[in-house]
Amino acid sequence: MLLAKSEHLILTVLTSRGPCYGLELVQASRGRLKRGSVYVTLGRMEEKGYVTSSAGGDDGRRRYRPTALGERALMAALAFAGKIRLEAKA
Amino acid sequence: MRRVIAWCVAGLPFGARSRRAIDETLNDWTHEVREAPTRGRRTLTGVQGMLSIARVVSISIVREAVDPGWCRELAPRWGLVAAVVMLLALATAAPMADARGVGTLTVAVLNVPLLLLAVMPPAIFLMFAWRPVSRAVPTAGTACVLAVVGLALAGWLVPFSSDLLNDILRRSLGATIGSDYPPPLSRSEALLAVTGWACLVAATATCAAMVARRAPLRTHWWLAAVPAIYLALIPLFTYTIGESFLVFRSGGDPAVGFRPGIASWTTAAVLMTIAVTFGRMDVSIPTSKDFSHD
Repeated sequence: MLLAKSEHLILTVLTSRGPCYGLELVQASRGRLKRGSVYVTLGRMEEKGYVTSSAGGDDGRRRYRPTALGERALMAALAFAGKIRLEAKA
Repeated sequence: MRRVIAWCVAGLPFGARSRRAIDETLNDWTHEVREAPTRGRRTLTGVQGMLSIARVVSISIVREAVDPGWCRELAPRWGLVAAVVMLLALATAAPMADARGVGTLTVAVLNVPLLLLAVMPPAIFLMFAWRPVSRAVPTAGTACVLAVVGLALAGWLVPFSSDLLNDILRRSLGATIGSDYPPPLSRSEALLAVTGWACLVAATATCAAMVARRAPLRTHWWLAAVPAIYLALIPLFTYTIGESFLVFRSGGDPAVGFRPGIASWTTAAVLMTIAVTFGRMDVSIPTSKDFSHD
């Protein structure tokens, strides 16, 4: 299962920190995710079923959390990357 | 500034996915401004917010532009437009060709880009505003694609075919090409005219997208509006196309100047304002509760 770089990063942050707002994801990524593009990526991931969202407060912002499918996709991507690294070393 | 940007963006015809991404970015901006402790921090947040909106709008437009959903099922309508343009080209070429002794088909083919340019805005409006329930609505990406097509047509194809046609007509009169004829538009005048036309196409597509969303023309009554649309557009065409792109010009004709470009830009601005205002109007559909008298 292939994940785009930004999808990988979002799932990593969400899995480690728990539910987050888009802006928190941008801050946690230390500049690797951009304010203007994070919601485009999150929307695409929600369509794929990797994340789910719910209304977070009165200001219309939404909190995102990974789904079971998203977590499995991240595990598969990490396992794949580990295997590639081992093969490269060998 | 934030409110003005939010007002403008809310009136543009973005698809549901793009709309949500833009709204969430705007919500973040509002949240950050509210949370900013100092004036300097608020200013910085404002700049960051503007950049993020510019980015999300650009990404959304590109994503919508590469999605071909909007042009599906439109092949018969494009065919109808092509047939109308070809008929008009033949009808205008025949008398010209007879009088000057040049080939009718050559003149007709060279006339096609100019007629297509003239037909494009109303054709786009009618094609996209009329929308059966099953058809995808045009989006801001659609408007950008059509603007690029309009830019290529007005900036390259029409001047190219017009030059060829003028040369043929001058040769038929036995005139020396290049002598005694006024120079074409200056670079800045041509740039204004061409970009104005591309913006007019984009504004028309935006208007059509708004009508398709708010009140799609599902019946064929709109056909009655075609002559009215053309009557309204004749002065515009005379200003913007007639004197700038083609026409067999003689040495005594006055210079065209910036007038065509200004006319196109003004019309495009008026249409875009109507589209954005119309797009923002909330249409409340009455429910059964509205009719209960309890």
